[in-house]
Amino acid sequence: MQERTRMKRTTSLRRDLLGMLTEVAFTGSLIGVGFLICRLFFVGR
Amino acid sequence: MVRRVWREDFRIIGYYTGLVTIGVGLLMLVPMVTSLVFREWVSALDFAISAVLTLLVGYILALVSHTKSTPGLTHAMVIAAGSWLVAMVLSGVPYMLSGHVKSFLDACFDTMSGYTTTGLFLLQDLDHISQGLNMWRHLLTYVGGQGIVVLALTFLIGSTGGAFKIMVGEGKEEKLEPNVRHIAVLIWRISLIYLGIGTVVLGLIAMANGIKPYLAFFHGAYIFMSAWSTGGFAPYSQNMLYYHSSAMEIASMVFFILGSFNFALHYAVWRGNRREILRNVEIVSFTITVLTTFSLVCLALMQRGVYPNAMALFRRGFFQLVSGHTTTGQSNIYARTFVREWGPLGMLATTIAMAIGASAASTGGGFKGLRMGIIVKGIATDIRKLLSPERAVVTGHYHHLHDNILSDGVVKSAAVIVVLYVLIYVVGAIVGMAYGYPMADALFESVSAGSNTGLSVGVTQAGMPTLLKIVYMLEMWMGRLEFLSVFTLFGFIATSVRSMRLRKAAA
Repeated sequence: MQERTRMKRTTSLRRDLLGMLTEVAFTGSLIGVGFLICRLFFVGR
Repeated sequence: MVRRVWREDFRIIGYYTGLVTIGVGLLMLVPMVTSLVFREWVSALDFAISAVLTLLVGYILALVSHTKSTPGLTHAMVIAAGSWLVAMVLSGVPYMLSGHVKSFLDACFDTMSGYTTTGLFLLQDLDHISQGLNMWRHLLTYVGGQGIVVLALTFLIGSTGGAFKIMVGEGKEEKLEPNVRHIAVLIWRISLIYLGIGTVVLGLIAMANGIKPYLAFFHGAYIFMSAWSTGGFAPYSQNMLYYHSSAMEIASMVFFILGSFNFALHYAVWRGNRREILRNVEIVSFTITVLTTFSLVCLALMQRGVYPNAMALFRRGFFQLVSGHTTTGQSNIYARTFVREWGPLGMLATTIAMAIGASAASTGGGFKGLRMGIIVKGIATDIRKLLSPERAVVTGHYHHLHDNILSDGVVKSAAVIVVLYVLIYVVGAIVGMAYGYPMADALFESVSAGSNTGLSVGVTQAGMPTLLKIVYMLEMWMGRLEFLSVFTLFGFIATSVRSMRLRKAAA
C-alpha cells in the first residue's frame, strides 16, 4: 500500500515536472522567435 | 421580472463577504512579519493596526449575518464584486498609515491596481517605502491574480454548493475538478511551486547583480509575484530599469508569459496532456497576436532608428510589447519614451496588444485570447458558410482543452464581452481627453487601466484629476471581474432600493 502511494507520488511529481518543462520550453521558444524577428529587421544593415 | 430582495439575501452576501474580509486581515500578517524581520517597527505597527481593524470588520460582518444558506448565482456575483470593494478599502489602511499617499483615494487606487494586477500607482517616494509595504504591494497583486475569493475558498469557505459560482463571479470559470475546493487548491499549488522556483532564480540573478543576498531573495520574490500575477509592480520607481540586467528581464518575461496562461491549460499540461500547449486556441491566438503586434513595433522603431542593434531592439521592444500583451506592465523604459521614441505606430501596436491581453481564467486582463480566437473562428466559419453550397452544413470548431463546436451563442457571448471592454476603453479615453490629454496618451492609459496592464505614458500620477482616478479605478475593477458580477452588484443595489420602497408603501 505504502509502495503504491510512493509510486503514485513519484509519477505525479514527474508529470508535474515534465509539464513545467514543456511550458518553459514553449515560452523560451516564443522569446527566441521574438529575437529572430529583431535580427531579421537588422539583416543587411 | 426581477425578483425582490429579502433579509436572507443580505445575510448570505454579508456572511461570505465577511469571510473574504477575514482572509484579507490574515494576509496582512505577512507584511507585518516582513517589517519585523527588517526591524521596521513603525511599519509593523501600521500592519498590526490594519490587520486588527480588518479582522474585526470581517468577524463582525460574518457574525451579524451568520447563515447556513447556500449562495445562489446572484449572491455569488454580488459577493465577488462586493468583496473586491471591501478588500480595496481595508487594504488601503496600511498605505494611509505609511504616509506615502496624498489621500485615501490614492491609497484605494493603489490597492485596486494591486488586486486587479494592473500595476499603475500613485504612491509617493516609492524608493523609500518600508520592506513591509513593498511586500504588501506585491502580495496584493499575487493574491489578486489568483483571486481573493479563491484564497478565501481555499482556507475559509470550503466546498459549499455556491462556492464555484463565487469563483465564476471573479472570472475563474474553468471547472477543472468537480470539487471547488480542489480547484482553489490546484490554482494555489501551481502558483506556489512557481513562486518557489521564481524566487530562487530571480534572487540568484539579483545577487549576481550585486544586491545583498538576504535582500536579493526579497527582490526575487517581489519581481516573481509581480510577473506571475501579471501585476507590474516593482520595489523601485524605475521598475525593471533599476536592475539593468538582461538576465533579470528575460527570466521575468518567462514568468509573466507563464502567468498569462489559463489555469486550465497549466492543469492539462501538468496532468500529462502536453500537446495541449500547441493546440489550444488561446495559445495559438496569443502567439499570432504577439508576433504580429511585435512586428509592427519593430517597424515603428526601425523607421525612427531608435535602437542601434537587434539586441537593444529585443531587450526594449520585445520586453515592453510582451509585458503589455500579457497585461503585466513591467517596464524597462521610461514612461515618456513611448511618446518621444516609439511614436504613434509603436504606441498603437502596444495599445492593441494590451487591449487583447492574456488568457481567460488566468492572472491577466484584457478581452483575452480565447475570445479573440472564438470571434476570428466565428468570422471564418461565416465566410465558409457563404462560400459553400446552400444545402451544405458548415460548423466551426475550436480547441480549448478538447474540441468544441462553435455555436452562435458562444460567438455572441465572446463578442458582447469584447464590446464592453472596448466601451470602457473608449469612455476612459474620452474622460482623459476631456481633461486635455492628447488622444494617443489618453487611449493608451485608459486601455492600460481597463485591461489591467499598468504600462503608463505618464498620465497616472498623484496630481491627475480626481475624476480620472475614479474612472481608472472603475475600469480596473470592471475589467478584472469581466463586467457580469459588477453589473449584478449594481442591479442588486437598485432592486434592494425598489424592494424597500415597495415594503414601505405596503406598510
